[in-house]
Amino acid sequence: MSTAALHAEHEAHHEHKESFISKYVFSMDHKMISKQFLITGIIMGMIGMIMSLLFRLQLAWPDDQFSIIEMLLGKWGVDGKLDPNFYMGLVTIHGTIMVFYVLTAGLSGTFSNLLIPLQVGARDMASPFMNMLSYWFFFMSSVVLLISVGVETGPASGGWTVYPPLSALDKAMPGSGLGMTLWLVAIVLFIVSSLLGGINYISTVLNQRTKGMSMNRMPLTIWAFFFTAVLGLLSFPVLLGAGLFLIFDRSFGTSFYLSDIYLEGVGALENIGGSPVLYQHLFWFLGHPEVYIILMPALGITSEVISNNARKPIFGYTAMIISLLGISFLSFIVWGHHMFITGMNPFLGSVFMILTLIIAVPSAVKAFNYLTTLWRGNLRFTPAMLFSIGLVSFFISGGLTGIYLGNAALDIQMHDSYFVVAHFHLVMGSAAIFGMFAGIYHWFPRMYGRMMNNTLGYFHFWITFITAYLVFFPMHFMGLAGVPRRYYQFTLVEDFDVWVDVNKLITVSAIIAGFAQLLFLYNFFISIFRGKKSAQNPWGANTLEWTSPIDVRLHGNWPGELPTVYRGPYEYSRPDREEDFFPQHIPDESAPEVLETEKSKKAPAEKEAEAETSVFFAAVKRVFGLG
Amino acid sequence: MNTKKKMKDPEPLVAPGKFNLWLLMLASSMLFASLVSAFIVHKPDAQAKSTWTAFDLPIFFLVSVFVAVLSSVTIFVAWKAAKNDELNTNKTFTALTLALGLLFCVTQYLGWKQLISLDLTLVNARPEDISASYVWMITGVHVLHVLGGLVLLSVALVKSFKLEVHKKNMTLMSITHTYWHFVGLLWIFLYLFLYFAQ
Amino acid sequence: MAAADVVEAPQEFNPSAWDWNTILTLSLILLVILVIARAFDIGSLTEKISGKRIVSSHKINGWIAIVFLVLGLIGVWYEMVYHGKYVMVGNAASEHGATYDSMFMWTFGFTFVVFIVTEVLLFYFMFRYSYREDRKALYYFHNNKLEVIWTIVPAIVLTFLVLRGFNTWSKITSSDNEDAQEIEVFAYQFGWKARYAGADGKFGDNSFTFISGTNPLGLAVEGSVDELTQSLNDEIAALEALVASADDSAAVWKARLVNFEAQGRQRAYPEEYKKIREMAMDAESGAYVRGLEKEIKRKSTNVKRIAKFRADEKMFNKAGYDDKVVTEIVLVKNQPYVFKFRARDVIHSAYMPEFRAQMNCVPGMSTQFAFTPIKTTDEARAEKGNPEYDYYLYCNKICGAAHYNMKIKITVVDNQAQYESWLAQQAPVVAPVEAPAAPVAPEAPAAPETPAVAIN
Repeated sequence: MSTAALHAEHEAHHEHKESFISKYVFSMDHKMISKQFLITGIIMGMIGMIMSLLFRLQLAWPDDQFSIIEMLLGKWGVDGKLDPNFYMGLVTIHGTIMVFYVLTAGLSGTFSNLLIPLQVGARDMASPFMNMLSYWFFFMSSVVLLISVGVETGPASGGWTVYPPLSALDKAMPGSGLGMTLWLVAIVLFIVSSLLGGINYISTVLNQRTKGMSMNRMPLTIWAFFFTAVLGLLSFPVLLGAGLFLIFDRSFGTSFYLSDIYLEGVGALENIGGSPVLYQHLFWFLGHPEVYIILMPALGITSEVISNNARKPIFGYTAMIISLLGISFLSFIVWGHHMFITGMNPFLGSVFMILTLIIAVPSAVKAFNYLTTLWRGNLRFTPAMLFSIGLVSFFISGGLTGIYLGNAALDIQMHDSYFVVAHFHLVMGSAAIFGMFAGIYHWFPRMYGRMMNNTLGYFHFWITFITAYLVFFPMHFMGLAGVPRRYYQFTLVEDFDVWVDVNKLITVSAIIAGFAQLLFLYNFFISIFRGKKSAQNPWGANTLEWTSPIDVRLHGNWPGELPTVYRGPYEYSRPDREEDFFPQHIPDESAPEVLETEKSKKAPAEKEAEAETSVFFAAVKRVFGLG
Repeated sequence: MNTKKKMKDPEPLVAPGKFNLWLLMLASSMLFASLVSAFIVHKPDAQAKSTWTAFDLPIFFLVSVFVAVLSSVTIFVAWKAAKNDELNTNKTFTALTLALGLLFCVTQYLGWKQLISLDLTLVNARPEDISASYVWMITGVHVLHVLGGLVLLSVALVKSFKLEVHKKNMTLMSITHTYWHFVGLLWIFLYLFLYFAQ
Repeated sequence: MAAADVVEAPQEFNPSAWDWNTILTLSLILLVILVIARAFDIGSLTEKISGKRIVSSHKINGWIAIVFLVLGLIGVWYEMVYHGKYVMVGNAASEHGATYDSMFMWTFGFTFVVFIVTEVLLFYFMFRYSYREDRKALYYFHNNKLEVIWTIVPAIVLTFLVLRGFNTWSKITSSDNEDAQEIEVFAYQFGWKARYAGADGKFGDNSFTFISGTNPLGLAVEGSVDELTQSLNDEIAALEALVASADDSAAVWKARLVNFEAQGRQRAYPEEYKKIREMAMDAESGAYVRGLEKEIKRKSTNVKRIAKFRADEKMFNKAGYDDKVVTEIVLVKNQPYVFKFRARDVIHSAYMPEFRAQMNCVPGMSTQFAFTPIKTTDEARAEKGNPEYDYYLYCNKICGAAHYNMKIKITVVDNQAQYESWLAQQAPVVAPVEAPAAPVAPEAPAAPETPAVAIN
């Protein structure tokens, strides 16, 4: 029996145990929906992680047998040996779960839902109903994906990118049968969920901000969620298009991606004229923005958490926004760097190389701004702060290797090697998951009205941080020595023998990291019920979410009038104030902001337009005027 | 517990429903953009392998264009009427638009039948007709959008008979109006694209 | 089979004990951490005891950061020394490899400096600015000059890297060398074949429709293609016979099912029962016949396509009869090559790390990569001190269960004569005199007299 199916069942029961269906299950309150996203995301994350540990066991001890593999996988782990087909399945589903279900829905779904209305001062999302649908589509999608792991022919196993023809021909590998069909169904449901969510996020941010919350007073979290939602809105439909063609090729016999194929044991197929590379173009048109859909919310959370815990304004607020904007824009025109060696026109390759390397500039600006924010701060090391700093560290280490991979020439050698695995696991995997942890530790009091245990958080952070580096750092060297990824074992290639010991180190580290997550789970679930009651504003933060009462469940967020905003979100340690923070909603009689707000009462629309133009001018100045 | 109704919050600049609709239309434009660009990217490739044939679009697809234009006019009249509280005109023209929408589906169906009679099926009877597969995919996805529009129109019609569509309750009518123009324009664009790009 | 595995497994790992013991140990450690954390909650201690702080979690974390930094740097150094030597740099076996390696080193130089500086700053700041109640952070919003500097400087560095990368890339991808010898590399699940042109220097034509057990590359060889047509026609006839008798067979399956159930054997033979039931259901619903008809259609399409090509004189010009299909690639040092890649089922990727070369092999599409080997296998063996060492071409695009074992040996020889004597030992696609119509399987052993002919 597969664990996945069990988990799905468990999850379903979990949801039904709650007594008030409208309150806890089909809730339209963004705060409840965010918790639903979070819990589902955590469960999916655990499943994805266990999968990775199983195939790590295989890589480290290819000749040994593990009773746990037989116990968990049944016929796919006969005699405690992982089946090669199922190895591919695990790799694929691990990637799918982590990329889409944990780091897209689990991260963006949780925190966009929680923070957008609370931080911009809205009663709820633009359409609470769509928001609810968004979660339930996501839930159905998760269930379908987990069911696909349990089907007889195994789950989809062509890698998370599911390139046809491998994924299009059910005779090409067992996983391309029913497992792949279910994978596609799951992804279509996921796209619907993501679009419903994204539409809401954008429209709430643009249309439903409270009085005084001009665009240039929005916290960077909101900016990041906003750009993320825009990326999702523009790129997920393209994945839907790619998926439609694939579904038709698989089930109805069209030839969009298929041409000139002879399959062992079947013979020559009828399909001609299709183009497998077309799929890659469509897929990566989503796929590349997707990595920023994953990373940007984490960066937004980090900006907020670092500024708050350094008790210092975030350095270069405008630059941070412009770099987010730059990254978002560029992410749409660099998809070709995943395809340098598909035989594409070399000139096109150079264009994609240039565009790709430009992304390093806004990324560098972000990294330096984080460093400067820490400089001469007064750093409070809450677990959230530690995870944010961990993110910055991963963002730098993993980002720098992107400069190698974005270079078409260097990519010839490094493409699909372990170097790539190391690169993206650091820069978008570990970094984004650390952003998610930072968010959970930071906003846990806002979600549940209680505090998490700090000391457990410290253990969780340091163990995870160290083991994550131990897992991914040596992989760079494997990749540079020419070790390909997605190999079931290396023992059949003599050259790779030296890496068996490294693989053992990696696997042991991964297992320790896995166990460290149990600390987090314990801390999270115990604290929901037993945690210390939180103060209204436990972190001394400036943003609006801490003004809405945290001890009452309130659909509508604020009991009375919506708060009015008087200044930007990062007024920490102002020299003229005794306290080291200055919440956005507290008026300051002497400050020019109040006068401005007085004016704005007459013509709020005008005021808003003014504020927006000022961001725009700052952007223009920055780009052209250099000062 | 819903405190929303009790208080006078500042009204958002645009009705949330309308704003969401625009974003939804943006998303589905991206879907069509992906289908259309797949067509553009694939064409030279398939031509090189001589697996691409250009063919005349069925005449009924052109009829669909006229139906789309006409129904855009009728929905506009209906919307305008609702705005001016001319409820009877609104009812008539909403119903007319619904009828034209159904007619659109019929002409699409006839167009497809015409394609089938020419052996230009979705799953190619002749492998060199990848172009036909694209025509089927694009028109198919578009008709799904039209069906969504028909659902909206039916709801709007029912509401207008219940006298729930008037000057002060325009959100549904505006959404239907905007969306119907969108699918109509989309069809005109797709027709011209398929006509010229083959 | 299972028993053999157990015997081979090293003794120190008694697997069933090993994994459970590990889990147990780690769980115990976790428990200890939990107890410590509950008993000794640093975070709450600092807040509870007003004014007086017993332990500062901020200070502790600051110190851990410094320790982590130092140990981390040592780890980086260790990796550089102990695993850095396996990194493929400075020892490329191809001509463009040197340009590639220098590009790599430039990139490495820049990124490594940035990596060290920023990470050191990050952890140093953690230590230096950890929380003190008597200090207030600097109210510092932005500094345009600084921000401009760190926009411009990376931009300049990247411009340099982009220009260099652009040069390297165009140098590697421009393959207009007319002296280059063409080699066709053919990928399939799960292996590689290479094809060398024969004495005429020309490759014979091919099509995926010609592929059969004896003609895995689908070459235009009359005998083999005619044989394939024949066997396809036979198969079609057999399938048609099955369709014709479908009604009978449906009755037979149904009877068998009823019989099976009547005898109550479902429980004893669940697998057989399932199969019979499926067959009976398929036969009744017509799925069985539809499946057969689909197969017939597929096969007859193939027959039709073959017939169309078969009439094409140009395609069947016998140019490919002297081609050599081989299971090892042999190259001559300093000779430029163009590799033409084909795949027959799914996407594969030909990865030759020692030569800094990689290219996807896509069904229905021809791709290529050109390079000049500059180091023979023997030289590489001497360099590595490993007399067994060989170059390989690996598959580097996920392609199925045996992806990890899909490789072909590449041997680089010193001179043309060695290469020619090797090539002469390989059998041509169609043996020249004995039987012109009968194709020889490429794997077939070489005809004994050919080496003598070729060495001259």
